[in-house]
Amino acid sequence: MLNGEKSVRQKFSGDNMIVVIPPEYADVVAKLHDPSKRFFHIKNCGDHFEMEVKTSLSFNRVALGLTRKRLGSFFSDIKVVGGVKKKSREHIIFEPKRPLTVTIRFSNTELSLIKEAARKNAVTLSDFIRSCVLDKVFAPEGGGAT
Amino acid sequence: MKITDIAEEGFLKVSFPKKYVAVLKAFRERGFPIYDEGDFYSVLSPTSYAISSTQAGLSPSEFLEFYKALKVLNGFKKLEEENRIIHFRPKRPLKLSFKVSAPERRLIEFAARQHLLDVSDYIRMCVIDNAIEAFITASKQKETGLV
Repeated sequence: MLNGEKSVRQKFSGDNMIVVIPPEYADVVAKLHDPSKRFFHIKNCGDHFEMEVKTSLSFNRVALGLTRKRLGSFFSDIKVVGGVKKKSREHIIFEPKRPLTVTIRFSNTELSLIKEAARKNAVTLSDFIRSCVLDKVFAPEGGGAT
Repeated sequence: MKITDIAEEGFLKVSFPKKYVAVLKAFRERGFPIYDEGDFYSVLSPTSYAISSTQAGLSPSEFLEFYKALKVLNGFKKLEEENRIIHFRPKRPLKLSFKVSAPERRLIEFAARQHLLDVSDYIRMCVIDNAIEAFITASKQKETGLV
């Protein structure tokens, strides 16, 4: 178990997703930047870094200044509590566990419009709805259109 | 691409007598399809919307008469804001679920409160605004031959 992962698991309340990053990636941590702390914030815990993430996030290899090989090592070495990590060729994606179900009612025509928009964006209905809502929630003006 | 291409039926349909022809402008501005049906005009909408007495160009008493003369199919009408606004809402028989994390739900609830809406209305507003925007973009692309 990675340094810090045990303590994170012990204090983890099952709520926010926490990414535990080993200290040798301090240069990468320096490039993970969210001044507004809307999406995540990073704590230096001495022997590791903890990134508390509020929703799903994706980081690009080039933006982090990583080679493909080091992206692979970074991906293997980080641990995620309260969520999952995924890797594509150029990205690392963090997704929180989503145990809560929200049910919304729609009319036939509203649903047809939503299905069409989801199809055009090549995403599932759930992903489309979640992204529409969370994009607006995280919009800089605090809820304005995205 | 027309809005009626999206679905064949289930549209919120509002009909009113032809003497309220001036009100058509308010509906036309929203891009809703309008049909001439004998003594009535009918307007189709895929989702909920509201119209004010100012938009309709009617006095308060005329607006009240207009409200009484309205017939709504697949939905409901409601007078709000001291009889100055008519709110049209479609019947919503379909349920759709999606998963969220606890912090995401708290954020959605917070944003809904900021907009003075309940969570369902807030989510519906976000999703339908986005879907309509995507529809308008797709229609424009088709018109201009970009797709």
